[in-house]
Amino acid sequence: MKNKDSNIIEVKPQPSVYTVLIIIAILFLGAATYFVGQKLTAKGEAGYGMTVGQMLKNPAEYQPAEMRKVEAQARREATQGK
Amino acid sequence: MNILTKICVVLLTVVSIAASITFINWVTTQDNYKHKWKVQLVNNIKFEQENRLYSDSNARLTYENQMLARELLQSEALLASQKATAAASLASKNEDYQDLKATHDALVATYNQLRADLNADVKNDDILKKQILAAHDKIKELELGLSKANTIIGRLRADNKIKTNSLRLASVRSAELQAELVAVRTELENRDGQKKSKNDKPLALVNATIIEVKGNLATINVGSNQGIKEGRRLFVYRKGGKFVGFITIQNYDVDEATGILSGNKIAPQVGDKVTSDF
Repeated sequence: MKNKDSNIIEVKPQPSVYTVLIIIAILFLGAATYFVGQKLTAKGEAGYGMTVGQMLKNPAEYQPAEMRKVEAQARREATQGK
Repeated sequence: MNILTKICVVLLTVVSIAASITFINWVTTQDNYKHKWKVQLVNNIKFEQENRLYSDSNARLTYENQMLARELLQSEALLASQKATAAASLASKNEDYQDLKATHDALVATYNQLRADLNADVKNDDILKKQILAAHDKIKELELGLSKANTIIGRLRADNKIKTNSLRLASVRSAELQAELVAVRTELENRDGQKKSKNDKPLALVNATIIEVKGNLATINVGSNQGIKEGRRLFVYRKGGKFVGFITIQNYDVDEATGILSGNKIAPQVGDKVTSDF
């Protein structure tokens, strides 16, 4: 691109090593976010079965109800297993 | 980009990498506490249910044990009571049996004595022999009846439940047999009296009282002045007509005689009456 007034050409700067570092940090954070999210949302023995909404809530608001559900399910399993 | 920005970028990169590694390590190595809690909860609930079942079973067994112990105590008490009752009944029936046996022995002794007397007195008298044979048959029947009575008594000993009624029946039967025997004896004595009258040797009627008893010897207050002779057999009875036994005269004087007591149903004592016609 030419500057009509000064005939100066502005050149887009080449990515430096710091840009690469930022990209690497973002990739690592993204991978960590993926694994953690998968661990929290997986059901059964693999994870904790949380929803995205529960991740954003205060645990004190949803955990009692969740515990009651888990306890009722455990009681059913214990009765059936008997 | 100044130097501060560069430092920040480097620090941010390092921290991001460290945090990412930490998080990834956590999700791959840490146990699922929620799943473990659920498994533990299931196990706890199963344990509670089993414990409740065991407690219920234990309580039921304890209650059944207590009930069985109570029933056992009641059964033992009932058995002891029944045993005591049966023992008392058996002892009573044994006493009755002994009384009947004594009566039977006395009647047999009487029969033997009468037969001996008749054999001695009427050796050559065919008519009296026939009568004696008839009396003998009658006495045999009486012995058979007494044997049946003894059989009934044996049954009574074997079965406590019917002892009372059967023994009463046996007693009645024995009394009937005794009455019949007395009747036969009276008949024989009458016949003997008839023979004596034929021979002009009547025996005098004797009524006396026992004045002394020593062992099986007794002394009466009459003697030869009332027809007492050696070997004469007299009846002993108590006031009220209760049969006691017999006395056979061994020694006699004018107004006193001594004899041997036999066939005692009850113990003779001073004051008991002696007669030749009971």
